[in-house]
Amino acid sequence: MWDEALTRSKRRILIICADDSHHFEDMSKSRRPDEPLSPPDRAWQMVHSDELTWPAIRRGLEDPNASYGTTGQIGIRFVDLEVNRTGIKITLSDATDDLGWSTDGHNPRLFTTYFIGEGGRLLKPPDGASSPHTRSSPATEPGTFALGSRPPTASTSPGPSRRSAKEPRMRRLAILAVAVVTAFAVTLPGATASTARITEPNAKALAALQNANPVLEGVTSLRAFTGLKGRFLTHAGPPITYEKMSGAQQGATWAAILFQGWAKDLDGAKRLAPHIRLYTNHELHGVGGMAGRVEPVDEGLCHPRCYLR
Amino acid sequence: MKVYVTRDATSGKKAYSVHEYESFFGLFDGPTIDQIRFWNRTVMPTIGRAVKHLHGVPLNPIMAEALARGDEMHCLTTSATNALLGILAPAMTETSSKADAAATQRELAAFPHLAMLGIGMGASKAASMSAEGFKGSSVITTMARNGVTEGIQVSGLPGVWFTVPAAEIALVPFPGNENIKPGRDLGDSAVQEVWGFGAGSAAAAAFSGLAAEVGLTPQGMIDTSIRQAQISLGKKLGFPILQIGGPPGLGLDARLIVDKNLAPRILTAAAAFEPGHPILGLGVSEMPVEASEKAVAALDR
Repeated sequence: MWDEALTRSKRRILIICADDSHHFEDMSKSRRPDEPLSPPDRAWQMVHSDELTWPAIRRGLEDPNASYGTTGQIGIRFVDLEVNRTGIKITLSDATDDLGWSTDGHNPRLFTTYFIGEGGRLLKPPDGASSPHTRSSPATEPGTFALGSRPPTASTSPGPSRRSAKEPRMRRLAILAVAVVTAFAVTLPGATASTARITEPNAKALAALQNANPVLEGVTSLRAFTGLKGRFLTHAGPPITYEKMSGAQQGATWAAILFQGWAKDLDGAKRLAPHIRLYTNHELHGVGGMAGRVEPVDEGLCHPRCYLR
Repeated sequence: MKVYVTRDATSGKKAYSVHEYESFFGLFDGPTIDQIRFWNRTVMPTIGRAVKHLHGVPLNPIMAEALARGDEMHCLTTSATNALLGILAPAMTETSSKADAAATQRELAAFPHLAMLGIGMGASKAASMSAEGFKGSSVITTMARNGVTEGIQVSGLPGVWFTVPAAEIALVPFPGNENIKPGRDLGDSAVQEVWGFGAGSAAAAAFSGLAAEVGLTPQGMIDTSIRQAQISLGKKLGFPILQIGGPPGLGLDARLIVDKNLAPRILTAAAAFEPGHPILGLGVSEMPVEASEKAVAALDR
């Protein structure tokens, strides 16, 4: 249709691209099941302008040499678009190569530039592209964009050609780029875990940590859990004797002895403390915060206020 | 003393854990022992009956949601406690006396920042036990401190401690505690870091008051999680954190720690050097790289 219009009218026609978008908040699905999804970012107008003001943008829109429409090929970076009597010249930025985060089919590396003349005639076939271009199938030619131009005699001088004797290699690169970018997307900054060291035993240990599904089963006494008899206490951290303990663990030991009723008063607790059998929580398959002092039975025989003496 | 019993349904490993009582910071006065008595007479049995009534309470959903709500599951467990309370409260009312149910619900509601830590530690202990005993593995399965020494155990050498002198904590004292001499790093609660919580999940609490309480900026909390992930072998799948766009690191690796010379961080509470003081403040500590060096040397022997 564009060919027809451009060929017959013998005049320049300004093309404005815009998407009829009306799904801005929920881009995953339409509110009505029968309504197709219309998210933004599918077509827009690029304008060359020296300043970001309404008059400047408007001037750019009205100047065919300073504006072009695009249909969502995110990542194309025009450095220069030059239209004059001798032809059209497009220069793509190297930055175009750096973006590959769309789908494979939309990868900028795979973009192909076509120059279409009067009557839909292909003025200059893209290097290496064998089949004639048809604009009716943009989906199968993702990189295609048509520049309807007059005069039809215009020769073309495509800017630095980005394709295509090297097409297979480019495609591989493109897939690689997509792979790298996908990996980046999944491996977000917080999760930049190294995979270099994953030996088999480490992988098994990691899988065990990942698959753990802890369920709180109930409450019991330490004596019932461990099956240990007699007087004993547990403590946090690696093994240590009472004499070498930190202040917090010694204080907690006195509190534990008083709570268990093993001593009548604080002095008695301090005298008894060095003689109590000690275990680490970890060796009994448990944990305790800070001092981590755990006693075997629920409640002692000590008078409720015995610790005050 | 009553203990929580947590079982890893995948491996069948069982672990016990306890509530973090005031006495665990070195207090031994009357109210301290009253607290232990109250918890052992009333709170723990009431929780136990409710849990039994529900045939167990899976903890992963509670803790994963807690991360999304801003807990890092070591120094801050408020959301997790509230979620647990919501699950247990009706069962408490059904299985305990009115007075016991009310007292327990009130206790959990009043001290939510701590209550779920004891239970979460049991979960982490059961999970880390399931990773023990893979011959040659350098994954850290235990990290604990006793205030004088601290150390790690690795999967390949279960039960063997690799210890170093306990580190000093970069401490932010609570107001009024500035002049009390702090003790060194203390507690089994570093098991939370072993299972990806605490420092690993610090980013989850980046915008909570905890950041200031441990002396970090929000960006510092996020960086702490990223740093911990750099010495982890994988990710804590199913526990996404918005601030880092994915799950935190999981599987602290002694070899990675040595290679990168990055010590695992721990978000921790601090006790005083002398007995008889309550909690002193919160801060950040590190398990020195030397502990991992000793473990790697033993694995290579």
